[in-house]
Amino acid sequence: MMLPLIRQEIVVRKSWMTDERFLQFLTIAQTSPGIMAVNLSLAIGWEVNGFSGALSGLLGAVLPSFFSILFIAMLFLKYFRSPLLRAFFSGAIPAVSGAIGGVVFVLGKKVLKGYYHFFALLVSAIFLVFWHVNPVTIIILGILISALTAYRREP
Amino acid sequence: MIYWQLFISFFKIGVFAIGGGYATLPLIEKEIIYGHHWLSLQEFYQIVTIANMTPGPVGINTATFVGYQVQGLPGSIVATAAVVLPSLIIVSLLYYLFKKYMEKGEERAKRFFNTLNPIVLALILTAAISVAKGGIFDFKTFLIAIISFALTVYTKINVLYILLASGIAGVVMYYL
Repeated sequence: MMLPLIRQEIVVRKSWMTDERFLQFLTIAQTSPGIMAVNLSLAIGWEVNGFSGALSGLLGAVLPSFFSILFIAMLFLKYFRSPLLRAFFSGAIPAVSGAIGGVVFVLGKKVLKGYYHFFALLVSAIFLVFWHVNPVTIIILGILISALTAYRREP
Repeated sequence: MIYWQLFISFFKIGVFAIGGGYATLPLIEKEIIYGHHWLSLQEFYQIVTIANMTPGPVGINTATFVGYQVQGLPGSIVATAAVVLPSLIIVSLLYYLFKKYMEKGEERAKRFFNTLNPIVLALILTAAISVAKGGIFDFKTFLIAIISFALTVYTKINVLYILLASGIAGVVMYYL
């Protein structure tokens, strides 16, 4: 859910890295253990400013959630059933799915070229969405295949 | 001691949080509900709903909330720190390796990522579809999703504004 925001801030507004580099970090963030948004913030932080950058990124990613939830847990839990709030989220949540889809589209346009890419995307999506294959399995397979292509002998 | 239990449980959850927030829910259930009985199933799903609606990853929101329920403010700090610690360790290591391999064999590293790209994008697309399945239940919500998609792709409008406007639209359409 944070993905569109992170990309917009890091790549578009601050221009701290290209979409290609962002996607590499996103790949690391997705395929490694750990919460994706936290992983991504750490990787970006390292890239932009070393260890202190990583810590800043971590705090930036974690603290807003931490404080909002504390606030809600302490004071506002009772208001979460309110019809007003539910109506707000009925509007906001579909927008989130559209925004995430938008980021996939934009990144895809930039880096996907050729038959392999579209085939791989399609097959992975089918496995994940329709056949409910465990994402970890897809990740491991993906890493294996990618490692093989990276180390293939030069023709 | 309870702080240690909180730490261990959420550290485990942090380690096994791979492939998207929704994949971690069964593990969280196992640790929080069936393991330590810190929450009931119903309470847990209330929190998941709240965690989905509030800013930030589900894992962090859940850690903060459960930590608070179990041991107040110190509990929320311990649980939240525990859930991000695996990321700190693992990603720092991977970043170092990434930099090293980009220097030593940039071509190979690029090929590696190039091959992995469509798979990673498929994973994220799955997340978008999950949210869509939960959030799109009629034509109006479908419209919001499409418009949000178009705005994200073709304009530079800040995503936060898009979400805010969509929420307000939700209020107008469903509350008033």
